[in-house]
Amino acid sequence: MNKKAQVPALFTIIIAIALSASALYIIVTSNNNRYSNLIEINNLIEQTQFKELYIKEQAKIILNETINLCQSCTEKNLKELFKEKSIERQNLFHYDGAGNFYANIKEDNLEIKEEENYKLSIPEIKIESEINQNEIQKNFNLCILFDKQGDFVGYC
Amino acid sequence: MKNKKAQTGKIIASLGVIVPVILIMTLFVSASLAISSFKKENQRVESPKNQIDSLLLKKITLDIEEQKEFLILDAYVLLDKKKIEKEQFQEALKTLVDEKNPCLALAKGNSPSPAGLAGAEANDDFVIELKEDDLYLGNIGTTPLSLIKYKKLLSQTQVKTTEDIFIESYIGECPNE
Repeated sequence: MNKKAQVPALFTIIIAIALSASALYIIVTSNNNRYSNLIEINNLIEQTQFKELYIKEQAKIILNETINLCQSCTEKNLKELFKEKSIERQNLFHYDGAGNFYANIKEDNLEIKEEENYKLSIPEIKIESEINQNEIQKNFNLCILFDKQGDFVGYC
Repeated sequence: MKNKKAQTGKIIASLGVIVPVILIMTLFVSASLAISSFKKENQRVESPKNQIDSLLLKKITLDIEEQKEFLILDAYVLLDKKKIEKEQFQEALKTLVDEKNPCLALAKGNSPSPAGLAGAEANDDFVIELKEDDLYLGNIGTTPLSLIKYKKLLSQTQVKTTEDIFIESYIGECPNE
């Protein structure tokens, strides 16, 4: 009879041990998850920044090449040549980080104006970076100024 | 009298449960404190590296049919596709090394952390160091250790072209021997 009375007490102790153990397990794993999440987010930020800079640098190279090849071209001809040079480079490298940049160019979503300087603008370039469950999406407008000699002047 | 005895009995019986439960709680609290202080020491996350100085975004000139400018990243893809020779790429890389940035390291592979691999897997890795006005060109395939000292300085970029390429790169001050 006495032994039967001890069963609920034993249960309470076992439940306390089980709850403590599971709480400890959650603390350990959530700490690890938070840590790896932070690393992933850092990598995502780096990747996104890298892709944006890559696109800007690539656009500068292509525009420089275009201007040097066609000093006396009209805006329309410059745009066509820029498009041609861009497709050439995309076919050579297939870098997926610049996919939307090239897609915009193929869809004629770009403008080259000849004023005091040459002005290249491509609106709404999308960049996406993804690691496991985390994802960063960024849109930016590309606007570059080059002088008549084909040298980079600045961003606009 | 009977009631008092029953109450004392109850208290004694419940002590048998309360004491172990308090012990378990104390153990739990001290274990969680120990875990949290241990984690604090080891888990330090560095802020994202500024990619503006990335070696892979620097420009070099290569002769492919005609003289053209390429980003290092793209040139590496060309090397991977065998559209340029290793020596041609290495010559172009040399132009990036100067007194301000005397050391350069590059490693490429198809899996993460490619730096430090030996033999054929390190064939397309490079170390270029400017020492006393003389250039040291690392032959990584036979001496993978020359890249190991850059391990902490390298930053990794994963590139998806037709396949996944992992590149670790660095340009700047030379690491301590």
